[in-house]
This record gives sequence, C-alpha cells and structure tokens, in this order.
Amino acid sequence: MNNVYTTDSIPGKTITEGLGIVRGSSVRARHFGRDIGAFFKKIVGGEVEEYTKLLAEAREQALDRMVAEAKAKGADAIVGVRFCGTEIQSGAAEMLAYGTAVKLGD
Amino acid sequence: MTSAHPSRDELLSMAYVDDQLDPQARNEFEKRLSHEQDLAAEVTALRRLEMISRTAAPPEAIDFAWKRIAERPTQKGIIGIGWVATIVGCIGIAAIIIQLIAHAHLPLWERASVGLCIGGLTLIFISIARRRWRSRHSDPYTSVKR
Repeated sequence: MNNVYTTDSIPGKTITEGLGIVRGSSVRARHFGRDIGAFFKKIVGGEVEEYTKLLAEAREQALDRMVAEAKAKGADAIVGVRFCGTEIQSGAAEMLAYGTAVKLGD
Repeated sequence: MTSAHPSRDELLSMAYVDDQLDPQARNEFEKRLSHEQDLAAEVTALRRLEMISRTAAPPEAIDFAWKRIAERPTQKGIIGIGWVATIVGCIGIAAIIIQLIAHAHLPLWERASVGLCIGGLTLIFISIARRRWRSRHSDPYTSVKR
C-alpha cells in the first residue's frame, strides 16, 4: 500500500469511509557487540550509526505492521499517520506507528 | 531467483509480497509458507529487496570516510586485537568466578543453587541466541541502513 499519508486528507481523493485506527509497533535491539561500539561512540561523539540503524529497522517494521492491519481491514489508504518512540530497555528502540484507515471514493 | 524465467512459486511469492493475491489464494499461500522453508526464504528475499528500495538513501560523505578508515590494516588490527582480548578476558573472568564458587566455603546446597542458577541462565541464553541465529534470514529489516 503506497497510500500512507501524514495529512488528514488526500489531495484529489475523497474519503468515503473511516475504518478506525490502525497501528503497528516494534521493539528491536542490536546485539551486545554493537552496544559496546555504540557506548564508545557516545564517549567520543558523532553519529551513533548502530542506533540510527536500530531506530530505522524498528520504524520500518512498525510501518509494515500498521499497513498490514489496514490491508486486513480492507482499507485503501491510511491518513493522519504518526510515529512515536519510547525506551523500554536501554539499547532497545520501540517505535509505534498509527493512523486512520480509510476507504477512498472513485 | 537464479534462472532467467521465474518459477510459478517465485511468481506467486512476488504476487504475495505485492498484495496481488485474492483472499483465497493468499490463505493457501500462507498455509504453504508455514511449512515450506524455501518458499519462506523466497518471500523474505523479496521483502528485503522491497525494504532496500523503500529506504534507499544516497550515500553520505561520511559513509565513504568510515569505509576508508575501516579498511585500513591498522584499524582492522586494532579492532581485531581489541575483540580477541575482550573475549579471552571474559572467558578468564568466567573461569575465576566458577573457581571461586567451587572453592567457596559454602554448604553444598548453596553451591548447587548458585551453579544451577548460572547454568539455567546460560541455557536460556543459548536457547534465545540459537533461535535468533536460525531465524535471522527471515528478518528483512536487518537490511535497513538508516
């Protein structure tokens, strides 16, 4: 599904039905070796690529799960998509993606 | 995905990943996915490809700099020696701990409790590591860079 929007409406399209909230979440971690590398990078500064990648992995997985839920509901698009993140455990990333599944008119 | 012409299963996998199968065909395909490892691997490979194309970003200047530095023999040597020293040191520390417990002036049941606890945690760790190692090919998200 390519119709994933952060806006509440889709230019040129008419929303005919709202199917409710859809969401996907993911909690991921890197292995301990990467955490050691990240720990030292935090000391010297700069980008901690280990955690950039970790966050990106969690983001994409959460997005896919949200889209899968929308597809299961028979949605044509998802509007008002938001991401939020929190930390459950040190070194692990939790991402939650949520939005509203909608049906589009012809 | 080695031959020039995709097989029926490869075409089905592509249709599944692209969400082009009707509900009945999708259910049947998902039943096959649960017990056909080759088919699951094909679907994972396609999802990984889709993931790479979706998250592809132009390389940044720092990527080249990091790559250049990482390929230098001195850098490889420093990292390699560092890891070997750390692993050998950790094994040594584990051996010291085991020795201390074995020779501690504790009743047998206390030593047995400590031993069982460490042994149990080690087994749980091995089980989790084994599961991750065996399922790592089914995780398309590991190919996401940033």
